[in-house]
Amino acid sequence: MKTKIKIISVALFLVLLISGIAPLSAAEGHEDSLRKAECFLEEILAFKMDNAGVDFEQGLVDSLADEAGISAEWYIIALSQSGEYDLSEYEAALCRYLKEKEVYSASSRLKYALTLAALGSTDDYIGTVLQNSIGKQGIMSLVFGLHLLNNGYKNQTYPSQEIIESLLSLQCEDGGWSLTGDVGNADVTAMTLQALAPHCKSNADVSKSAEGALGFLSSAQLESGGFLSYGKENAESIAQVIIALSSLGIDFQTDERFIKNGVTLLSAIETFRLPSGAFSHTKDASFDESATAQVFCAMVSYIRFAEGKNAFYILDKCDPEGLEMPEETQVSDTTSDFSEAPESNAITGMGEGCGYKKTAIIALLVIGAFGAITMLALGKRNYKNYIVLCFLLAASILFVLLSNFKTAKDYYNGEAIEKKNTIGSVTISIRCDRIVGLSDEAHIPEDGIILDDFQLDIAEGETVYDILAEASRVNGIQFENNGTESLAYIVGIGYIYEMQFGDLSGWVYHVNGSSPSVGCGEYRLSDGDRIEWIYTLDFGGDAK
Amino acid sequence: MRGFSDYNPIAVSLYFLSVAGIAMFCMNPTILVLSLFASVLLFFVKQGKGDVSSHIALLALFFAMALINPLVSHNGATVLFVINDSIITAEALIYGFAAAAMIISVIYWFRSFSALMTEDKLLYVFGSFSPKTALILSMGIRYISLLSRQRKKTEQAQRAMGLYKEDNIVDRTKGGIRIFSVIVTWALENGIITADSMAARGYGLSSRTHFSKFKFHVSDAVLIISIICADALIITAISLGTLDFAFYPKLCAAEPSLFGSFAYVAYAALVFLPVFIEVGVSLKWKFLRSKI
Repeated sequence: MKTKIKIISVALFLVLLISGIAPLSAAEGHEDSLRKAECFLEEILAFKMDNAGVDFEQGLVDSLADEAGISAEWYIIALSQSGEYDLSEYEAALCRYLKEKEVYSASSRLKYALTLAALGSTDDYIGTVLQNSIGKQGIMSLVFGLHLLNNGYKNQTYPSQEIIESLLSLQCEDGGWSLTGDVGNADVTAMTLQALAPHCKSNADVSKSAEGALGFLSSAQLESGGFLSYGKENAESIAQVIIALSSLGIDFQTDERFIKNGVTLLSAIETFRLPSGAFSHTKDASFDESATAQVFCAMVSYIRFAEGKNAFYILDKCDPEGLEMPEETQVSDTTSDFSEAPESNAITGMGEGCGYKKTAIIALLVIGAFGAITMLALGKRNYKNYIVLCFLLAASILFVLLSNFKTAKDYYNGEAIEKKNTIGSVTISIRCDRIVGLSDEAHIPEDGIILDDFQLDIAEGETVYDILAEASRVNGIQFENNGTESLAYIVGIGYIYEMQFGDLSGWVYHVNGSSPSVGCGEYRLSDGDRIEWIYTLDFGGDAK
Repeated sequence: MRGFSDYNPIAVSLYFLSVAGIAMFCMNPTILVLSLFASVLLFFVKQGKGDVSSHIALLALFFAMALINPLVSHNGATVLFVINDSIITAEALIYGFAAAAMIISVIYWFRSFSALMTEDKLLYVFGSFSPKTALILSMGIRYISLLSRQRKKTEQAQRAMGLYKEDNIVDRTKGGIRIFSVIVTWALENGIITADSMAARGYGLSSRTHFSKFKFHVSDAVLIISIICADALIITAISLGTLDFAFYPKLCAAEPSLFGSFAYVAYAALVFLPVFIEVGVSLKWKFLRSKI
């Protein structure tokens, strides 16, 4: 009897203790979390300054101008929202970049416009993009477009109410949003919520849908406090959820829905932190630029929330009034420019890097003229010499016109091609499980997965080869083929080549689990197909 | 002390077989650079500058081979740039240079080989175990100089007949093609005549003997043994993987080791051996002459 009482009293004491501590720690947690976020922020800044080789913050801001249009945009939006920096140098650099280079992806155009808006720029790029990009590239172009409209920019053809309705109609059954398919993705859901946040109070439909999305996020949160995106737990997803929740005014550090096993979002994101202060994409990986930039945004967003400021994407400096809207005729012109540009490229071979072609042709002409003068001076005056020279010159100019040189950075820009006549989407995976452990070379992935179920839109008539080429380009995977078009034959993917592991080894492909009897350049895909590239050691006999 | 070409032909053949063979089967940049440098150096030391245009042609061939490789091979992690969706990588370019260095150095080794190993030497080396091989080999090598001499003759004849114009590229190329076709016809005809004339003189009959004036000295044995020792060391290093060099996907040399550096030193000693001998001989010659 006595022991029973003892056990009960000990249990009661423990319950009291825990219930007493919990709110206490939560109350303390608020200050702590803010301090933690500020600490993360400063360390990222310190890390970036270290990398840029400067020792004051304005110096870092100026050095970002070199990366204008390439990787600096998220830092710039966050810096502009976090404090008073002089960002004019960067603004000029970005305007220059956008004038020189045509951006094919509508989402990227909107991202640049949003960056310009955050800088308080009144460049007419914003106006052009407002007119021609919203809704042109799936859900992300709606999200970024809505961000712009939330800041007071106007669009006659696509008012914010219409965007909101489109977004709500895209919501999946489970409450989330995704780029394709009908299963929600934490990243996309969070980014959509960020855009919908300002409309939650005024629009009942939006607030209902946001509740659903929050429910989805809460159930998608893992025991470790993080989220999965394309099968991997990563820092960016957490960062996006933080921005979304702080934009909605939810204190996720105390909200039960987003604390799993006592792990809050901030402590979850800390597990991706490297000793240098930067962040990695997945756990125990090395530094990742995009993860660090997004965590930086997330911390700024959280601090703004804690200090009672506006949401992250309600831009402090933007100046929608100062923007001169381009006239109607101009608008239609630029729109057609954007949409037709890729096709005209295909025909003439001129395009993006058009500038270098002019220089190259002029250089060739100069060399030709120099050669002609030299021959004249050396006394080789037979007319046939000059005919040969003209032939050579014409051939090299033709080569310059038909070839398309790109830098590695431009080629592996990680963006899928915007397709016009999409007929659905397919998934592609690339695996080499059979050779795991057979060789200790560093380029063979330990889990045998080179690319895990990657989803891509397909256009009418696209083949397995086209999708492999696009997926490799988007994911930065090397591959080599012999022959092109319908004769394409894949000799190597990810530096793993045929016949490296015996005479019968090489790459085979399966579509929906069976091996087609035609080459990969001939197999035309249809919606929902599942492509698998498998490295075989046995002429395909061991691939399933 | 003798000049390198005066050593016993067996030693000289073994030497060329070793240096060229190792360069051909070991794609290691250090080995290839040593081989290329030494082969060109030996050519200049033994034969002076020779026909300058042939060096220029080989240099052009070197760069052509090096630059073509990245266009056909797209392996490698360092992407330099992209032409029409084909990636051009630094590794493929470097591999191209390595392969070109290998081929050009082997060409130079054989140019020296054919200059040093005259017909009688070839007959001596191969005659003892297969006279037919020796005959075919020496006749084959004979054709190189024979054809170039015949080309000059044909060219002169064509020019004298006024069929050969040199003031523009088109006509010169046409003339060159015509001369080539003339030489090919001539070579076929010459081959038949040679065969007939040799048959008439009794070649190919059994129980024929051959004569040679080459002797086997102690220094020949020393040379052969040292070549074999160096070969053994290098081949062991190759089979142990200490000289391995991976070009793809990233340049990666085997861990530097003491044994590996011995192998490098052995190969360097091997490739520069004839140059040392030649320089030593000429120094001694000058020294002896200065005392007269």
